[in-house]
Amino acid sequence: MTAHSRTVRRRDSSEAGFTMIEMLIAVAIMMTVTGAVFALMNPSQGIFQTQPEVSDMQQRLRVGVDSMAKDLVMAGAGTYAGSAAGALYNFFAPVMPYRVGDVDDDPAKNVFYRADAITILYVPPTPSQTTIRDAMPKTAEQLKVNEQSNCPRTKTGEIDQHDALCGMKEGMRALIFDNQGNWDAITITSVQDEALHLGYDGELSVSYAAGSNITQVATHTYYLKTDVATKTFQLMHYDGYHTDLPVVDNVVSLQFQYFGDPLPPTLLPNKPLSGSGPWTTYGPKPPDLATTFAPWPKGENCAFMVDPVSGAQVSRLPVLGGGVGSVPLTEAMLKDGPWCPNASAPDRFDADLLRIRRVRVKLRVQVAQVALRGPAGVLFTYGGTSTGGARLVPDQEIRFDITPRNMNLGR
Amino acid sequence: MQGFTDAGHNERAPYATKLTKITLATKVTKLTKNKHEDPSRPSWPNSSCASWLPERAADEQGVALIIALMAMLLLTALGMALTMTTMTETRITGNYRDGSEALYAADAAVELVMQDLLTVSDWNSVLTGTTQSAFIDGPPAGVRDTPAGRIDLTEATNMVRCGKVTICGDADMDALTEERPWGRNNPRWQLYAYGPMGDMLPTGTINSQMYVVVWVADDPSDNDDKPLVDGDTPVAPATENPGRGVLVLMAHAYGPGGVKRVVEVTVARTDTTEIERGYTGQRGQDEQNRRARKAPVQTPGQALTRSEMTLTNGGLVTVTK
Repeated sequence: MTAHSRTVRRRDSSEAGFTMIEMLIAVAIMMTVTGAVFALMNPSQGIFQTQPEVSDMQQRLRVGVDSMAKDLVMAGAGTYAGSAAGALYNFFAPVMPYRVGDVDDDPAKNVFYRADAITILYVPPTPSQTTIRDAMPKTAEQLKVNEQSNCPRTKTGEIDQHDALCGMKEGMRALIFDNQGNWDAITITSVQDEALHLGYDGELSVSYAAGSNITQVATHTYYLKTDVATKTFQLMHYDGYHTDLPVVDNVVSLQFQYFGDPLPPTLLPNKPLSGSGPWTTYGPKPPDLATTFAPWPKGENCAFMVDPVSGAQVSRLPVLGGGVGSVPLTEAMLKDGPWCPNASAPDRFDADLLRIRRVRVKLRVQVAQVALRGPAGVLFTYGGTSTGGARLVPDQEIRFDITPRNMNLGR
Repeated sequence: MQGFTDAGHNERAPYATKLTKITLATKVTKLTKNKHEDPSRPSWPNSSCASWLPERAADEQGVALIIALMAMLLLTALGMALTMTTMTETRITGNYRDGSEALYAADAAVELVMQDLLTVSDWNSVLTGTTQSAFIDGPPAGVRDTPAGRIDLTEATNMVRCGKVTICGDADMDALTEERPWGRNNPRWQLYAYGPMGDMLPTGTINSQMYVVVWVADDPSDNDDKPLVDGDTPVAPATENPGRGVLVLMAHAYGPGGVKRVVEVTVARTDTTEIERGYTGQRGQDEQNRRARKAPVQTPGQALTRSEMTLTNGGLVTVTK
């Protein structure tokens, strides 16, 4: 019994509690273990936080590239039915390094180059390609078109005929252009009987003669919208009429570079100017030697002049870069003239734009969360508040080249 | 150290039991009952131990089970979320890659067919299906089992001709629709070139899973009302046929996972040029002929020369013109 009591007392004393030293050691061990766990968890948490943002940036880059690439690759596609069949660069410049449209038009402000903007025109697959029936004054509000054989057919009862509107519908973007380098993009606001009612701001750039071309067109302007105060950095799209829409957020840089044909345009042999086109390697055809496209002298236009010695029509543009390869087209080249259709035309463009064969695009995006951006510098265009290495997501940049297939048909 | 003996456990057991019984009474009962009903379980040799051990063991097993289940649930959810995210990103990237590849494959097929058409003197034989490209992998009908999936050429042709997989009659193909609004001049697509993209070059150097198909048809601006004849006499009141010498090509490229890209091109014969580069627009047979007999080109700053064999010594001499 005595032995039993001693045992119980010993046990009681052992169960009485831990000593302070034991407690401290236990707490120290616990803190060490917990600290180690947190040290492991903290970077993991950072990675868990940053990786979705990295994916998001790549998705945004992909959307930006896709949006621009699909339009750039189609740039310059012209009508493929009727007398004006051929790429648009036989008539005017389908790629312009600035914003063109009814709202906030750059040429109206005498701006003819912006490194962060591009306007692209092309004719999409459409049966709506024809010519205008009557001459159009600059203030025309409606027009009628010819029923070409490629126009859609309609059947009313037993009568099967071509659509009098050639498939033009309300809301459709349309392009009117002639052989002299004049062009206007308009919107069809309504349709009445055989007449198309037009929508555009101001007035047309010129009066168009009967037989000028009209077709459905796609107009796309991409530009960078930057507002540091509101922290708005967006790749924007403008439809050439009244609508601006953001495409991608947190785009901090957008740059376009142009590469072109080093050789000047030439007249194609055995292609009389009075016949059907194309008449030139590129660029609008000149008038015959007895005709004047004012304000140019007889037989000349923005791309061609009459050689004083031989009397033949030769290019007004020089040979660039030794005449081989594709040459970079600088800002100075693209806004120094000669101007098409002439220097005073409201829709004028530099004739060197007709040389463009390749477009290089640089697109840079930043992470959306300020907490994941470090100080402004090489890695970050706009600084953020991040301090930890596991929570840094540098800007991502992509560079790609597009050679529009319809602007390289003869190459 | 004696506190960690069995005797110690024995004495502290009631505290643990009290704590667990509050929340796990039901579970304990069930576990105990089940165990007694199971004849295969070994019986406890010591009846005094059996009176408390099974109950304690059951308590602790239950807690462990729930904790383990919750932990597993949490980890499974995390793992699944991670896997889903990774798989989605991988799939997006894969689809993007396949889509781009398909577009280039369709483009390549169009280029191939354009070169083929240069050698065909009578395009009407193409429109009737009599002449086909050299790039084919069998008869122009039937099913192809490819890495891109099962492709039925007959159904695909019917789809582009009239928008359904069954055989298209004249009325179907001449019907006025939004996509085909030209009535009797609607394109009647003929299979012209088709096969795996990897077979396009005999060297076998194309590593692609794409399958490409190219159809050819008369262009819809042709006003002869004969979709199988190119540029015949126009139907009155028209006096000219603007579609003479013009064809339309449509290339489909099929890839894994249902990827498909389409390129449509209008081509025309031209009687154009002696220059090698830079002329716009369409290519035609004439271009090839002229390329074969192109004019001599003078080296800048030098006179034109030619080499002739002399009969005196059999050597070549350079003659300046």
